[in-house]
Amino acid sequence: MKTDYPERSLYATLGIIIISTVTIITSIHSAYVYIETKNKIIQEMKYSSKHTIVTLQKNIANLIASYAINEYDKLTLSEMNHRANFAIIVEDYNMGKILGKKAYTSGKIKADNGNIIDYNPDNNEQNKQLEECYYSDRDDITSSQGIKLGSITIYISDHSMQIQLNEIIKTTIIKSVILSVFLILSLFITIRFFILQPLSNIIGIINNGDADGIPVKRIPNHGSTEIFDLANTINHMIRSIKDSRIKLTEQHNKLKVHEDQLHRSQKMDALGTLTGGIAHDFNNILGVVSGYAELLESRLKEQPKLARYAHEIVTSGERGAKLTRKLLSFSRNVESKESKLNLNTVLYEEKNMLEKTLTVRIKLVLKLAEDLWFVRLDKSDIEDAILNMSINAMHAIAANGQLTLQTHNESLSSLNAKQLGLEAKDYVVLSIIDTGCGMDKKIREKIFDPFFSTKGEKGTGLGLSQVYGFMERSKGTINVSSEPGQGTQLNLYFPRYEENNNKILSADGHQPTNLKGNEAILIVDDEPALLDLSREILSQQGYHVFCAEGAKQALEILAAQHINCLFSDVLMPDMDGYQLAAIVQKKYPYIKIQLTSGFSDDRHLNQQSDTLHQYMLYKPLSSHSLLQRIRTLLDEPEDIQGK
Amino acid sequence: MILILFSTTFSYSEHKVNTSIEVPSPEPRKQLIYIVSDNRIPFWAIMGRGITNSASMLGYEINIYSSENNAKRELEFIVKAIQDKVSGIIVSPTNSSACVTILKLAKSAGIPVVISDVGTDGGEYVAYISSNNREGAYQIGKILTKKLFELGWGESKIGIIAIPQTRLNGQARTAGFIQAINESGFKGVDIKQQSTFTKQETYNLTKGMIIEHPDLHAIWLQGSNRYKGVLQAIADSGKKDKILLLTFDAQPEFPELIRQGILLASAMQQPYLMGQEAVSAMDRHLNGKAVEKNRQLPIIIISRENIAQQLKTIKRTFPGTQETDIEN
Repeated sequence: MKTDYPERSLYATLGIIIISTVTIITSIHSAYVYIETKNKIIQEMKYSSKHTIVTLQKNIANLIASYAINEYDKLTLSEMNHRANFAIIVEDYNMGKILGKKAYTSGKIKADNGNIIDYNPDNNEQNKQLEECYYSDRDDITSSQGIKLGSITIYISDHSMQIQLNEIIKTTIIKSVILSVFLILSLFITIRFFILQPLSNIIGIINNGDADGIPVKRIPNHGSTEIFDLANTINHMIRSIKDSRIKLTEQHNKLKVHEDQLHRSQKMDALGTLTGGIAHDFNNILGVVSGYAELLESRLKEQPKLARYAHEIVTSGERGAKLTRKLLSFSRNVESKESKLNLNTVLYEEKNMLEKTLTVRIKLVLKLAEDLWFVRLDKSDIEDAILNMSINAMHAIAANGQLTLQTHNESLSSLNAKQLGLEAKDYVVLSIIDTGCGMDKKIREKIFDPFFSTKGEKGTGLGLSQVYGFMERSKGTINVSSEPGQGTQLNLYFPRYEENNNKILSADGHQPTNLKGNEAILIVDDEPALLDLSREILSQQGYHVFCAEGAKQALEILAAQHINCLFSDVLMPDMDGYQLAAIVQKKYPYIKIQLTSGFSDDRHLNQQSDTLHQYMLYKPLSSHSLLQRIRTLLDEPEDIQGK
Repeated sequence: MILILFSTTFSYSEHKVNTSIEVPSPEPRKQLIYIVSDNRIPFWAIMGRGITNSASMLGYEINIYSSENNAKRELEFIVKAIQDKVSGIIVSPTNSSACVTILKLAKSAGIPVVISDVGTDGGEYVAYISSNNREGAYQIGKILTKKLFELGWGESKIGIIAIPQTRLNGQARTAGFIQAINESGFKGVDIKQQSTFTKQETYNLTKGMIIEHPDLHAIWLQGSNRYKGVLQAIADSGKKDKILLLTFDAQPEFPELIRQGILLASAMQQPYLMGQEAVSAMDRHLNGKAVEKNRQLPIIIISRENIAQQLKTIKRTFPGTQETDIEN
């Protein structure tokens, strides 16, 4: 299990290693020297004893023969003084005869204090010491005639050898200690000045960090190669950390932007779904009210007063339809009439109207890029958007100020496109820049919310919501940059118009004047009131009308009746209008198909349904537009819808 | 007188000279033994007389053993003395080295030893009685150099027939003589050492030295008993009047020889007195009294010029010597 504490000081570790190493090496060396010395001493002892015996033999023989006891005693003393013998014992047979015994024994022996004293054969202590001697060598002393005159015995004690060997051990220990101390001191100094001090400096620099703990200063590049490399590595690491922090901050900011965008997108989607749903249902209601009011108005031509009442209902219905259109515009579920446009042209066209709207207190400045790319937009939508944003700017500018409308081309890189939530391609950017009061973050986050307004009674809260919906439908985006007191800049990114992929289909064609007919028309709608209204409108013009409240019922009628035209709602519970159309086109290719919807939803578009979508009739419908479209459709050649 | 002294001297040349004097005593007498290197030599014989006389006076039984310069015999006498459990040993050893063994054996037996002349190379002893050999030899050297200068032989060679230089007395004599020679400016000195102490050996050594050094004009014999060998060699070489002879120690005929000019001078020790001093020291030791460890007695220098004045001293040194004998 790991602990959070340092295990041991580097000094202690190195000290232990050094002492162990020195002790082992010196011990091995000492053991070798010990054994070698011991063998050498033993050899020297043997050699010495042999040499002594050889030296003394001849001289002592003469002295024994001449009874010069003291003389050979002096010889033995001399030998004892010159050689490391423990004792030299001479047996003198001649003197022995005089004394009445085998031999007269004399000699010299080393006392405990190292002095050489006379050997006394009766001294038990001395005899015991002789017995304990490590080595002894005895040889006879003979005269030149070969007569045995005595003997000489050399005794060598291991005492001196032990002292010598003990001295080796003692010396070894002292050497080990001195060497260890020397090495430890040397290493201590070396480590202190060449490793630990630089490391301490490095630690000091690393500890001196900023708020994130990243070192503020670089580590100086000097010292030994290893410290130099370490400093370089740490500096590199610090640099990497700083770079990573910058990247991390950038990515954090981007993530935040994306998060905000996602949040806004989700919020807008939710609001779009809500407002779209409300508008759809409201449209159905308005459709019924307006439709019947139109029918009523046409029947009350003889009663002007009542006809006027019916007309008021129709007018209010139109106003209601206009309101729902704004809501649907935010939720993108609105009919779009896109065309190839040059924004500079639109701005020039709108300039006069805008100047009048902004009044003289606000200067309108156009900064338009040359060779501006084309875009594909619903012209009325972009005109509404410009007007809405200009009115907002006007309200934001308390006194005099300036509103700048600026255009330019911009090719977005992957990175920039990602930050804006767009694809990486060419865009035309329209910037609306005012010198107004600006916005704080809290307001900035809500400006696209439906019914959010900072203008009180002056605003409906749907202006920028419409712009937002418009930008979404345009496959572009809007970017807001504003700070309180610093003005506001709105950047609208529109995808560049691509000639090959954008085929403008014109809905304009022959407008029939006779709206009557006798063809069989099948109306499919899950809203019974609208179903009845459509049947009423078409029946009054002479058409044979069949009604179905769902796709299943419609297919049953188709199987049973000859139908010339299918007029179907898109959103239905069991099967939507596109699916029904697909079946009809396959089984009954001669039947003309017209779809209607309260939404401009392109989720089910494919090559075949594209035409159906293109000629979609959006609710609420006027009776005239319905009859005109049905009549036009029935009058078209049969193969047009199949393309 | 000379004959008496001569006969007395030779009476001590036996291996054992029983000179015990029976003195009636109720208690057993303490026994002393005197081991002498060679009792045939008058010097030692006179010393033996001094010892015997003094021992008798002090009530000791004394036995004298002559080793005749034989180390083995000397050791045998020591062993015998130890076996006899004598009260004390007085020794005039064959040489100072052998004396060490004597002292060691005696010590092991617990017998005190007094050394009378010669000396020892080591060991423990009660007292060492000696002559001032160095001073005596120095005086002899002075007389010789003076005479050589008088005779005009200032550049001559001087020969020394030496006793063994292993003896301390021999070393001291040589040193004293050489000092005197050196002080007088003589440098040509040859030295030969006696070993057998025979007349023939002395003769040969002298003859060889005369042949080897034609300018030799003086011979100093460190001993005295073989002086005749020297005289014979000088005579045989035809240099009777060309070579001076000096001796150390005395022979009974020496006074006469000095008077006749045959001998230039001699350094006379006092062996009788030394023997007395040796016994006295032993007695004091055996009675638990303090003993002077090294006792040196003066040496008498006799030459033609002072022989008359020294006659009384000579008589005291050589008891029994008659004045008329000397004078004769």
